Amino acid sequence: METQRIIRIPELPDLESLRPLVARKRALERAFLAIAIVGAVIIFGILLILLLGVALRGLPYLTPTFLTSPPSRFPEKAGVLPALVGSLWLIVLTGAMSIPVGVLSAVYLEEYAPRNRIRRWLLLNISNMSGIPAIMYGVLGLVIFVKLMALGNSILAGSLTMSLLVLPIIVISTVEAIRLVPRSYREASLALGATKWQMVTRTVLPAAMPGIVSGILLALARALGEAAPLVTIGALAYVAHVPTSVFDPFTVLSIQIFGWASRPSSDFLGLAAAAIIVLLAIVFLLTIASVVIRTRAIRMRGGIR
Amino acid sequence: MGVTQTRRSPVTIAAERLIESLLPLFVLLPLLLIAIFLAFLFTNAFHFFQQVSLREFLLEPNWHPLIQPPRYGIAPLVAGTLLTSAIALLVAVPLGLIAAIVLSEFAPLRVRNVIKPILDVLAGIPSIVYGYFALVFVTPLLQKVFPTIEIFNALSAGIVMGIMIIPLVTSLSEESMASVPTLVKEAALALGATRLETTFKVTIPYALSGIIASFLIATGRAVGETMIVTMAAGATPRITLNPLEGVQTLTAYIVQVSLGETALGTTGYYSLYAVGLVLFVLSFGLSLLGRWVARWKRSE
Amino acid sequence: MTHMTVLSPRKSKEREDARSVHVSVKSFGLLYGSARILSDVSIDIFRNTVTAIIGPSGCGKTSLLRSLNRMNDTNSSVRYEGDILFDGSSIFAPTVDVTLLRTRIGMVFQRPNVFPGSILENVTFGPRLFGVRDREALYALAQQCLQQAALWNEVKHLLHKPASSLSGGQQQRPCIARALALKPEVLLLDEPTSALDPISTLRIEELLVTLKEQCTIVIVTHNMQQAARIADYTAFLYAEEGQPARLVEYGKSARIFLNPENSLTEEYVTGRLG
Repeated sequence: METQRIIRIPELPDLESLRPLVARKRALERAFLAIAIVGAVIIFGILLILLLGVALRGLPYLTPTFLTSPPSRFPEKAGVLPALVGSLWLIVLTGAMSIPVGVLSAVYLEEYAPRNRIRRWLLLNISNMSGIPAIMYGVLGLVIFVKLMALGNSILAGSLTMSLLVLPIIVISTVEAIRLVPRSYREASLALGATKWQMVTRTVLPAAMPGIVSGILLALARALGEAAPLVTIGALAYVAHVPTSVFDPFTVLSIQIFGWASRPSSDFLGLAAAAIIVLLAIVFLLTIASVVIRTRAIRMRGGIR
Repeated sequence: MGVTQTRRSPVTIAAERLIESLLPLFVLLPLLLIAIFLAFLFTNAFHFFQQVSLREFLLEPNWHPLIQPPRYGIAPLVAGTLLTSAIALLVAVPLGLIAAIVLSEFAPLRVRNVIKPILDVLAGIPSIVYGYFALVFVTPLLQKVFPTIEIFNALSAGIVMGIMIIPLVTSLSEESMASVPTLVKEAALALGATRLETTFKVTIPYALSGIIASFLIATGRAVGETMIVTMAAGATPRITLNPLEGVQTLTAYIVQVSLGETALGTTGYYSLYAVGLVLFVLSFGLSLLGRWVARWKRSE
Repeated sequence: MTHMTVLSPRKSKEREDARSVHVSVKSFGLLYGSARILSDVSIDIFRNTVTAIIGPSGCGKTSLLRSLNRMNDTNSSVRYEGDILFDGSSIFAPTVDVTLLRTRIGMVFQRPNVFPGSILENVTFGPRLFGVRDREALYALAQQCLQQAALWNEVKHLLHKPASSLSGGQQQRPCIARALALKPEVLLLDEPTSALDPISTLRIEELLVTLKEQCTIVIVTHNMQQAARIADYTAFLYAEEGQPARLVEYGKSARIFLNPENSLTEEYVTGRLG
């Protein structure tokens, strides 16, 4: 396999003659960065313009009447009150159901479950749940909660559906937060005579709290913003009264927006924009809070990646 | 942390043990519900296929359940989904990847720590807001450029979906590239490579499976998106490659059936589940593939 | 046979050993932002020698080494003081292109860091970056470098296999071959054998001693016996608690280890220090 031919071992060409090649590479790099930055500015710009457009379209309709009235055929009287109240009911109920289930599931997976294949399978499937499109959860809600459990198109059915949808978010962020708690905390707690349950509830969970809260806020923001699953289970866009019990039919902000935006009239599009302002205000609040809490926790732990 | 106590009431101990023993149920409950759901999905879809032959479902080029005679060919809905998703990916993949490259390989740490949280916040914008964008701003704009464009069209929905997905592609790809060991990148630099060369000849090949996974997950997201396409792409099932026309996606059809009053037990009623099944297989399959690809390289 | 000479090597008759200075570190200081890592280091590295940098861990040896091929530029907050001359001209001059500099000053890292791709692709990475395309010539080059790295016989039939399929201990040698493929005049090595078994370590030490005929070697090591074995010159760097590292003593290895002038040096080489 040793060749008999004389093969010239390549020498790099004289350094000076490499300068043009290097100059070309540098120019390419600069061009790439320029294009990338221009592209980013354009996209951010587009988003900003779109958001501003919505704000401008909706502000004229954002009156106190708007916030306190039910929807109506007459745009000047229409409001988001049932939708707003419905959304709040929804988040509260969804939170009440998904937070305990999610956190306790994560506690089980990280602190109690034996490290075997079953555990990995459980984690895998919880994570796979987040790959299921939102509307499929709507179909699930329709099948199981609305029909099978005969809950009808009630807030309860809606919350149950949304709880399932946001559950993976809470479980995964809680699992990650628990994993970051240093072993020394647990050992110190046990060494002081705590039982496992006490160690978990009094040491691990408090230490993991920023990560857990951050995940919960994201989950609630998600629950607030989704419309598709609720459309499927029958949340209506025209609900004239504020719900008074969990079994009442309901509507939420996102669906109200959908309903109004489906009307070709300019006024209703404006109402939809106003409702979007309200929705975005709450969603941004939750999301920004989530990000801030998470970033501060990372910083306190000692270092941004 | 003070938890020392000399004696604990047997009630407390029993209560703790009880909760601990119930913990596995919390995990199993959601999975059980999903399993029940899948069973129903398959069962109802099965009812559908008792009334509509698989042949018609797969080969019939028309889908109109309400116009007599009804036709149940899934192809138009799938075509609608694929068209809008393809447009979305055409927007999101190049832009998202380039943004990820700049963030992970070029941007100083300070810039990264500002941009990444902003991306996270942008990723939280509900899709219905994007749907409104498409309907109220993008379509009128496109009408100026393409006068023949329909009011409901795939292009508007696709573009806006693409913008929505960019943060997802960027954050997943950026994670992959940032986890390439610094030592490997430095080896390339030490051999005389520029930052750009290092990125394309070393970092991206190294992180390739993660990057591909991010594309697959983004595709799954696009396929499963509902509100944007419902509001902007229309409700006209048709097989077309023309983005200026209106189409109906799998997801939009499900919404349409949900909003309507279809009688129980009819083919129309069961069609929701058949379409749901196809959607589930497509979207979930893509996400699953994405996660599998990501894990595959990591184990190497 | 070196491929470049912008300046011809100077044969200085004034030096006691008639060797010329290849790299000259002059009052060099290094800071990251406001944190000072190195303070006022001056070393003359002679052509075709092995120079070892020793000192306790974390004292700035690697930072000094990385400054020689400007690898520290990757940190955006880095600031330099003093100068480093390569063949008489400053490596920090604005006309210097850092990628060309690194073709003349190569580096091997502490742990193996192979690229994805085959062994052949790894070893020929450098030359291919600069336009060498001839496949047969690249193959011959890879053969030569892998022979130098004492790996050729083990991999000559496996050149198209992924480099990551080599065992951990073996992976360092293609990295050395890869650095050699650019025929650098100076080779920097950062504790190259610290993760290796004794036999591989010995092989690499033998390699370095033979290699110095072709290029100047600078090696950072925490293993004093290694420095004593292979280095012609040794520099001892030390940092007090909370202080930047400084050069304590530099000279011929024989003198540093057997007859150090500085008491701190003596404490370190006799094992009484860190």
